[in-house]
Amino acid sequence: MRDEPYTKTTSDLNLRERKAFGQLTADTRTAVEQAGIVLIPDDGFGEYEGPVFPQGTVDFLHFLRDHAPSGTTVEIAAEDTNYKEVALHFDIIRLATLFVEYVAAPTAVALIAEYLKHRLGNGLKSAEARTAVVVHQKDGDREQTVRIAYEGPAMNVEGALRDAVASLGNASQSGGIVSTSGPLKALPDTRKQQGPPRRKKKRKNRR
Amino acid sequence: MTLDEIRAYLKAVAKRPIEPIPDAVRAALATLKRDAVASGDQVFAKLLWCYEQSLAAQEHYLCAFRHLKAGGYYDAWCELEQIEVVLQALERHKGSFWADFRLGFIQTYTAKWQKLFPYRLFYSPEFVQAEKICSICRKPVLPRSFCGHRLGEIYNGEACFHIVTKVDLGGISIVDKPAQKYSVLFLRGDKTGGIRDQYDYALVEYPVKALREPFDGWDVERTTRRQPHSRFAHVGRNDPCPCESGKKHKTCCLREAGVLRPHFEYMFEFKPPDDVLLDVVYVP
Repeated sequence: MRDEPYTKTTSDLNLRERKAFGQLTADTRTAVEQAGIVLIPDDGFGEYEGPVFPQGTVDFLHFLRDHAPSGTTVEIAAEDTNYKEVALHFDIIRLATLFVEYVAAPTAVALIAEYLKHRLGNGLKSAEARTAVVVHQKDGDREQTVRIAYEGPAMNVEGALRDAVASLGNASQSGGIVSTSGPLKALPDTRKQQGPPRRKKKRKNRR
Repeated sequence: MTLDEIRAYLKAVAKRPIEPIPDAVRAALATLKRDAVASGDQVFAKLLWCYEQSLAAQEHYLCAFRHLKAGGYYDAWCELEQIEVVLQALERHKGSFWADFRLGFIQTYTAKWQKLFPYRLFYSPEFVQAEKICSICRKPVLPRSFCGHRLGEIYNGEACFHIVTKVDLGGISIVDKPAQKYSVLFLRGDKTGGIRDQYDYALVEYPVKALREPFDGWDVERTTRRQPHSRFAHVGRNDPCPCESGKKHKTCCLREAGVLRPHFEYMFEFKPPDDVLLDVVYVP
């Protein structure tokens, strides 16, 4: 488990450029392109190279459709014919990655938090979750797709993702929409209250 | 048995003898549920499903306590996991029965018991689920052809879950936070080839001895205390420090008043038997 509450990295893939998009039928492609929130797969798992979703994605999809505000459509970048889910060996709730336009990002974050509450109930306090939101921003000719990935306590998902999405807005205002490679600097962990720096105690060497 | 009698039975769980739940209770619930489904009363059928699951959680809890008292720690561990599974499914349908049937207590104390167990490593598989079906209608679970049944919801007095019918195994790993807790790592016995339980259950044993009834309250506080150096006389100056800091003993606790070790302080709602209290060592 990382020390930071979340990590943020840039990605150069928008929806059309993704491998999974090319495998969809024309109807599904149209539906996916028009949706406000799209569940996107990972490209393969182990020796299997096709698109895969985390275990429980169908349930997550129906929850999002039931709870998304009216006017926000939810789609999944998958066909029934090759739909597969991966069950990993550790006790971490993994959610499918959501691809959203910048304006829909706060909605997506709120829905993720709601779903975790719904799924975990009292277990939310002790559970850990792994989730990611890919935010697409377009400003004239400039375009950026940013992946915000979170892994940590399930109850902190909303705060961490919300801060991350807000930081994208700040970057945008300061002209920071530039695609870079590699991880961006993670925001500080606001959960930990840091006290004054401790002075290192000098110890005698008792050799 | 009438519904009121079943309700009274479930409410009195703390006063019941620690015995398996009679088949008559289960059978009465099944009959009532069958009638509710036949008459199309989905609300009542759902309530009866909740009662069935409450009964199951109580039974697993009492069974875990019986195993603990008999020294069957791994069996108790498996029962505690069953409680987790049952209550997780039941929690979203929570009603007044949750408090009435002591399910909050059972949930809290299940977690408390689990934390005392020494199991740290587990086998755990990972796999690609190639095919799943809905437990209600047996249709495939697919994103675009939705059968209409929501995972975890109750239909005709039964919970909807997904049955995995085809998997491609990716691998089996040794992990510390497994998807399923029952797959504990045990050693194999030298002579018999059977399971050899190598774990130290001291932390579980103490409250087990001290508690008379499964619904007596208790708590445990984890702190650290310095233990006298005389207990660690066998540890060399250049050996790893017994406090498990990763440093050498001479540069860590050997310089201090004692070796820093975990300390567990138990608190009981009711006074434990005198012979248990005698086990307490007072460390000033």
